[in-house]
Amino acid sequence: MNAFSRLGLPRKLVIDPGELDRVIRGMSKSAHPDAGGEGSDFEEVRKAGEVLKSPVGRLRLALELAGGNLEARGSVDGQVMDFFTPVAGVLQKVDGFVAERSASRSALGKAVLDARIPSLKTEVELLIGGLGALEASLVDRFKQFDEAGWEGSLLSMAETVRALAFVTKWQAQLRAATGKLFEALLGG
Amino acid sequence: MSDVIVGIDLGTTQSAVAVVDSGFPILLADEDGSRLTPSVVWYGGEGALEVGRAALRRSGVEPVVTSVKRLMGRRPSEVEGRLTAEGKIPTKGGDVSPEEVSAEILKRLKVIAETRLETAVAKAVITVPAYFHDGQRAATKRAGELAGLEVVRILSEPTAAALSYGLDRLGENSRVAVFDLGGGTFDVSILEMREGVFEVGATAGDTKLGGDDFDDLLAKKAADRLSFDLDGADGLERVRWLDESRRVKHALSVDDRVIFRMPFTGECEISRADFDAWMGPFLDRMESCCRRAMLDAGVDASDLAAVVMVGGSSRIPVVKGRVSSIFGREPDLSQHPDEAIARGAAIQAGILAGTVREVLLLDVTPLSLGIETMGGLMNVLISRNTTIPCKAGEMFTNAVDGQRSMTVTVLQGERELAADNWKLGSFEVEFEPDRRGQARVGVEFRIDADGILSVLARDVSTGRDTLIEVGSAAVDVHEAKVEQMVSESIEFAFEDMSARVFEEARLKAEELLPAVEVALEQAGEFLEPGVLSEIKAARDGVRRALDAKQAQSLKSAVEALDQSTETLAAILVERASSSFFPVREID
Repeated sequence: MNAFSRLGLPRKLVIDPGELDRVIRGMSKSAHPDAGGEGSDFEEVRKAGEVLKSPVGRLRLALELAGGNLEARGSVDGQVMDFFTPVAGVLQKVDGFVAERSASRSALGKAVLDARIPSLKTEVELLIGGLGALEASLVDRFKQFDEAGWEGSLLSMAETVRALAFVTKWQAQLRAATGKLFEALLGG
Repeated sequence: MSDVIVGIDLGTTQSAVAVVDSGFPILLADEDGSRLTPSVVWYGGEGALEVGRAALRRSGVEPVVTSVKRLMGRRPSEVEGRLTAEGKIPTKGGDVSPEEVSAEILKRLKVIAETRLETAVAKAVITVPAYFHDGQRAATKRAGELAGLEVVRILSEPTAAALSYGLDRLGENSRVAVFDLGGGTFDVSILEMREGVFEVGATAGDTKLGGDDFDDLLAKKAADRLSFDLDGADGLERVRWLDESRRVKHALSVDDRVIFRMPFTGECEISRADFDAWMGPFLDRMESCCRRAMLDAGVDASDLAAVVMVGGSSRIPVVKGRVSSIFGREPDLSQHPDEAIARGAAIQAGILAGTVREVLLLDVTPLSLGIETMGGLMNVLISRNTTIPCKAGEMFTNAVDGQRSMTVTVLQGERELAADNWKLGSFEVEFEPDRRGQARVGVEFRIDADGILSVLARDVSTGRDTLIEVGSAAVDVHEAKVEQMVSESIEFAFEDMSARVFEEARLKAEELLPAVEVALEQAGEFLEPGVLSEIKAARDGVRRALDAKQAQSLKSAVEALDQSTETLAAILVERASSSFFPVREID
């Protein structure tokens, strides 16, 4: 499924998020079974919306439409790889904390461990922030891809997809780590 | 037959039926002019049956079935003796299933609607708590069918309330939270209303938290004060205590002090301050759900235009107070607490009938759906808060040559371990005989607009689709019994082994002793002197018991230390929490 044509949008990587939301909402409204639409249409609209809302999803689709090859094993930007060790480290710390906390047998033991939560949370948030800035700089390249034409930018697009894929995955993992800290607090 | 679709709020303590008339939702009253029907059914034997107010009048004199909603789609092991091993409720008229009892309430509502509308009614939208899982939704749908109603939609209650709230505000674009605390269940949803589309961003809740729990609590506390053995009381006596608790609870929303009176037992005064303090743990659970819903929806309290409170228990002052502090604003009380959900159900019925055109609802699935993996973990296929209807696919392949089938277990919940989640059921995937890794079957999991799952298997080589029946585990008697037996046997086995008791207590003591030192250093200054010396005494008690190596005395010493450090633990947790929940001052 080509998400651009499914949502009736021009093949452009630079999309105004508000405009995208408006289009998804409008099409959801007419495709929803309650409004007389087909369930499968509705699901297609939602899926297409998900693809285009995510920068990496959008770029991956553009690369495919332009006939490019992802070369999953190709090189990855050094700036991105600099995050590898700190991200892995903090994820491990959070998992270690959660394991230790759940093994703890008393409310006071858990509470003493909880004192670590604020600093862990700050560490996670710093990385999320750093990755956010990196993502924004990668997404800045979208304008050049649109202007130069996708077909002429295949290599650079493929490299950016790989970089964004790492960034997106780490962001999701870090957000899940925040969720784990949160659940630990709620779990009592 | 008319095409009218009614909206029904099938509540824990009371139910209501509504329709849209000239674009406006109205509740339908019974012959006494009452718009609320108590969710109470009396079975008198030999087919005698009463529903609603007539049944309620017998309560406390004869056994009646109440709060059946809390039993819908549940296994006997989940509800502490309220269901027989076969998943039935014993009555004078024989054993009945929760669905059958709900169906009687629905039949009564159907009659009310038919009388008022002077036409036959065959279709309904029925509301359920947003946090109901697949089994509970499916059971509600079956109850509708038993009552002779085609259930055209299962609708989430907070979403229904949001429809009721938003119908007169269609021009506004805003985000709201709906806080729905009913007789038996609690939900909170965050919604965005934009251009007539009501889109749920996240929902959270607790299907075992509501007004019934507050009644239980009040009855227990009053019984303590009157030195009455409530656990030893018979069924009818208990009902009378609960009825008095309910009266006192309602009165405490108005008065500061209320006398709890039980004829032949005695009376005691209960102050609102007592009640508020007892409510603490429940309020904390509600707060957790609110925090989680906001985190999931990616919104901060300040992003919300309103916090709409509905449900009978939203009248309780301390609940309102906690809502204000969580969301940093006064709650919106514009919706009738007992009627908003039925009104919203009627609006959704109008949308489906085509009489309400300018509105559309996009709801989400409240729980993640997944399957059990080899290692006993849950592999999530559809994550919670995904807009429904939706689907996800998974490919299964044979692990050994000639394997003919494999069992797939479907789960709902948020825990990592499969066993900690709700087991929806399991099904068999059939393979064509082939070499290992060659036979492939694609399975599609669909969650429809009712939030109910269906599973479709496609044989990749033949391209043939088959609808798979997911074996309902709702009345998995055998399993429930076994679980109960296993847990009992383990408890008894350990109880007898003082070596085991000592070992458990020793591990806990060795963790607590250093924790006490750390915690006192970090927060000791905030403790009252009395609490501080109590902790120190309990700590020394544990040290002595450790040296004495006596199982029972160590166990009780550890328990004492655990109890005396409750406040200390709470201070530390509060401090850790403030990193997630900034303290907001409100007037």
